[in-house]
Amino acid sequence: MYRKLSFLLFLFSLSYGLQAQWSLGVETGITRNTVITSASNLSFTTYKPVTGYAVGLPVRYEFNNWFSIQADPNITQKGYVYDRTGPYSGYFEEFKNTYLQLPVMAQFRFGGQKLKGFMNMGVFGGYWSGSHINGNLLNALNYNPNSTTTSKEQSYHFSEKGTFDKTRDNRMEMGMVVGAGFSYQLTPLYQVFVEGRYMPSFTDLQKQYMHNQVARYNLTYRISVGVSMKLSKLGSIIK
Amino acid sequence: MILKTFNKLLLGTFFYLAIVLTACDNVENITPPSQYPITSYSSIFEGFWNGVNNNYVFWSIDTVDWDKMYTRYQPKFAKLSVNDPYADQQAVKYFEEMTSNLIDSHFNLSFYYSGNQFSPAEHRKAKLLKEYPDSLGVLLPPGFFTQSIYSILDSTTAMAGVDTLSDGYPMAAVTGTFLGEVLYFYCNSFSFSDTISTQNTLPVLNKFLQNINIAETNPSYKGIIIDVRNNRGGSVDHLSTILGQMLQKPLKIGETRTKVGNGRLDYSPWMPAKINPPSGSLNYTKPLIVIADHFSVSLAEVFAMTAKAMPNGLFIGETTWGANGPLTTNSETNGGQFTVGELTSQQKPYMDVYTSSAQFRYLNGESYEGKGVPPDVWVPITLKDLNNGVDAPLFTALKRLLN
Repeated sequence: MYRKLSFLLFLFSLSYGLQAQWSLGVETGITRNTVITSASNLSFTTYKPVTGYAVGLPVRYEFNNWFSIQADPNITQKGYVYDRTGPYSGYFEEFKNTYLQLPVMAQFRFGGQKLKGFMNMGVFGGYWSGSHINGNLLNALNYNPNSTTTSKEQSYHFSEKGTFDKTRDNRMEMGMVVGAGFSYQLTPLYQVFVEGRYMPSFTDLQKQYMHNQVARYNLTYRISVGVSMKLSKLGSIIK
Repeated sequence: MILKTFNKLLLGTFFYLAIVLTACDNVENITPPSQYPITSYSSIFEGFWNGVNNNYVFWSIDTVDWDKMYTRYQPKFAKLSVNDPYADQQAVKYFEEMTSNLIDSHFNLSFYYSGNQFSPAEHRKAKLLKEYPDSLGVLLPPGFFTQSIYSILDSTTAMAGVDTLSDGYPMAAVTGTFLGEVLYFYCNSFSFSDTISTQNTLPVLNKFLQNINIAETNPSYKGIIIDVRNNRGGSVDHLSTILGQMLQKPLKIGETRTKVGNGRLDYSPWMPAKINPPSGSLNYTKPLIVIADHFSVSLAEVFAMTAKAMPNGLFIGETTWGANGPLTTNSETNGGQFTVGELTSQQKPYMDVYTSSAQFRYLNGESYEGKGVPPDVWVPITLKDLNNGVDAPLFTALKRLLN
């Protein structure tokens, strides 16, 4: 956590002093992520989405009043659930994966002086920095003769830090970003905004380590709110 | 001009959205092995290879290069024709070659059409036994326990039973005491849950279970011997039924993990493997010795491991078979055993693949899959001993208990 905060603060410090048409902000939001994969050969199994969080520091350079370039370093949680259904309902494993992400997008703005709509289109790169797993699975060797259930095999509840497998896990991620939202200029300095974002990943969560591998891709929806500050206006206020 | 620019922008946006919205929206569906049609050997091969690829639980420790097996054998199967009467013989031979070095010592192929069966572990050990007859211990004759050992038990307490199980297996069980000081139990299969087929052997087990309390409370008793030599294993409930009787609280004997996805390395966390005592169990404090040999398989090996894990336990004998992975249905754990080839009203499937549903590792973190559990005290049975009427592991256990 400390490393993630330091990463964001480092990027924030890079932008300090570059005023011109620059804007700098802070945003927070919730994510809804799932994995695109196949479970067609797995009995009573489905993959379900998980809600997570995102926090970021959007940095924007406005070329004119309708076109900008925005970079959005952020920490995003992307999770999913391996879920058993039918007679195995109640067995599951939930993965909550944390990514350090850097989307870079073109932003198109339209509307009035204060209230504007915008669209973001771009790409993102990310690093899978951490993982937490929790779940409840069938424990193959834990027969309890005193159990009152039909099946006396006991389940195993767990909640622990996930460990990375060097052979399997692909910790670098890339994908595309499409977003849309509204901003409102509260004061000459501050602007508030709300944005919905769609981020499909085009890199597999796994390295290519086996033949006929079944791919797994993150697919993330995000809604966020934030506030940004025009650095050129800050300069004139300080003067 | 502004309108032309805006239109270009709009067009560009639509193209971008089209790319984004269709990117990664589909991963090809995977066909389960049991749904591959048996219309060509290529199809059967694909069903088998992918079935093992996705369901085999030992890929993290098995050194067989399964991708190489695909590259090497896919063209060979493609050349086989279902119209060739000799093709199936060749196909079976190829499947045996592909799997001969897999470490899963439960692994077994059963072919519906030829009736053939193949176990890589049995195949490897048979080869070794041919060259070095004494290297892997001795397959004891059926009457060794029900006659030879039965005859040296105290006549007032000795009891033996023999049944034929529903799968045709000849089950045997023996109990009794040595010199009124050591309680003894033997069985060659943990199948007592099949109460219909164990009419003669179940009473032997019940008598032993009743006598555990006497062994603990009667001061003249020195200990218990559980003999699982030449035992093929069985259902896990016997751990509680038999060993659980001697415990007051759950005993951890190792850990297991199962598959949680299609990737070879998609594993659950390690989960504790425990023996849970039934209600009314006692705290057995006197020595427990488990005798096992190279032909102690699966649950019999767990009995040996439990003796090692208990503070008052000891495992005497030989290194066991090496089949430690528990088994259940494929649907329970999304791993393990599966069938290849589509079952229809006109045809049988092609083969059953019997393989472990979970990995197991002992308390020390080590997996004995394919290697066998090593004894605390190594005492093999040799052909020479047998011919001289000497049961070295049993005599060693008795000497330890009787001083």
